[in-house]
Amino acid sequence: MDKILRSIFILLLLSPIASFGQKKAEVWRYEGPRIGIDVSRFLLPFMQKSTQGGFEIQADFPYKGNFFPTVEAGYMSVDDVKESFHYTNKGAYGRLGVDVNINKFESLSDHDLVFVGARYGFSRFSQETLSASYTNYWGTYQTSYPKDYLNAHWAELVFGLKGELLPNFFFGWTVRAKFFLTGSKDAYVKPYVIPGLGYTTSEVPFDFSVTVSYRIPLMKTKTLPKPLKGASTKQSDDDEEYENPELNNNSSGFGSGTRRNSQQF
Amino acid sequence: MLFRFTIFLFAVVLLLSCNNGSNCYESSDTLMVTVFSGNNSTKIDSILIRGFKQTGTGDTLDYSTVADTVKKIGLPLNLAADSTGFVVYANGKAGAFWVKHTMEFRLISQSCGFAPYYKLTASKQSPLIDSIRVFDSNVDPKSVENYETNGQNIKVYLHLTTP
Repeated sequence: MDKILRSIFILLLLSPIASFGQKKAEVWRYEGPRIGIDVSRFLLPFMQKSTQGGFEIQADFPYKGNFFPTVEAGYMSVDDVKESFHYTNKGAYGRLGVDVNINKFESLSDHDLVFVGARYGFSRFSQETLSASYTNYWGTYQTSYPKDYLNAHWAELVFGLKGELLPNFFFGWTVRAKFFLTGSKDAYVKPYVIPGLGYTTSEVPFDFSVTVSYRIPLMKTKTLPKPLKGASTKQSDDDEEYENPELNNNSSGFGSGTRRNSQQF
Repeated sequence: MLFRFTIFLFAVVLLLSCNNGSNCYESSDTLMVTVFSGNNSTKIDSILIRGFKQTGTGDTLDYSTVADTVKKIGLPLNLAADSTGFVVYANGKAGAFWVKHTMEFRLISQSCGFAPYYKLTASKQSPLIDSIRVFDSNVDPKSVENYETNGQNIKVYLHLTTP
C-alpha cells in the first residue's frame, strides 16, 4: 500500500515534467482537489514578540468551475512571557466554507483565481496563566490561574488571489475579516488570542494567510467554466497568450493555450 | 505575469505589515476617583492624603495647597485586604475614612497585562468627614478615564467649618 501511494505521489510530481518533451500537446483543463499549507504561520514566530507556533493545512475542491468548497485545519500555540505575566494558550481549530471565483478564466489552462469567500470557524483550546502580578501603592499582588479549556466559534469573510505559478502548484494570499460569534468565557482571563481566530484586541480582527498549494489533477475537461455574472477580466501583460479554446476546438489550435497545463494522462 | 507578480507583492506587503501590538494604549492603573468637597461651600485651602498606617517617607498620596471648593484625586485601593483606609489632612484638621471592597484580578489585554477590579461594598469615616456618597461602586482601570472630566466613584464631604 505504501509503495502504491509513493508511486502515485511520484507520478503526480513528475507529470508536469513529462509534458515538456511533447511538441504538440492536446489541451485539457485539469481540475481536482487542492491541498496546501499556510506558510505565513511559519514566518509569524519571527515577527511576533510572543513565542508563537503552529501550522495550518488547507484543502479545496472545484465545484461547477467557480465554486471551491474549502476545509482548513490547524494548530496554534502561544507562550507569552511579559514583565508582569506569563500566559500560554494552545489548541486546534477548523474552518469550513466556500470560495467563489470572481475572475474570468481566459483559457483552458488559466486557473488563476480572484475570489471572495466565507468561513465558519471553530476552535477548542486551553489557556493557562502561570503568573500574573500588579504593583501599586499598597504593595504587589501575585497570582496564577490554572489551565482552562475553552471553545470559540466565529465567521469569516475572505478575499484573496491564487495563481498557478508552476503546473499544479499555486501561490496565493487571503485577507480575512473575522467575526466572533460565541464561545465559552473565563471570568478572569479573557483569552486575547484564539487559535484560528487570532488576536481579539479589536472587534473585527483581520488576518491574512499566504498559501502554497498543490492541485491533484484527477479530472480533465475541455469545458471552460462559465464566468459568474459580473466576473472581471484579468489585465495582464501576457494577455495576448489567452484565447478561448472553445472557439478553436482542434488540437493544433491549442498551442498557445498549453503554457502551463500541458501534462498528459 | 502581472497577476502573479501582484500576488507575490501583496503577500510581501501583508507579511511586512504584521504588527505585534506590544504597546499599551489603555489605562492600566486602577484608581478610585474621589472628589473631596467642603461643607457650606468652604474652600479647601490645603489637603494631604496618605494611606492609613502608611507613615513612611514617600507615603503621601496627594498634597495640594491650591485653594478650591472641590479636589478630585485618584486613590489606589489595597490589593491584599478587603478594606482600604485613608488619612486626610484638610485645612489643618485630620480625619480618616475607609472603604470596604471585593476584588477580582483580571486580564485587561495582552499589552496592558492584569489589573484589579474592585466593587465597593461599604464605607465609614471619622468626625472630620461629614459623609461619604458612593456614585459608582465599580472601581477598575477605566475609572480614571471615565471620570476624567465629570463624575467620580465616591464623594467625600469634609466637615471643615461649624455652621
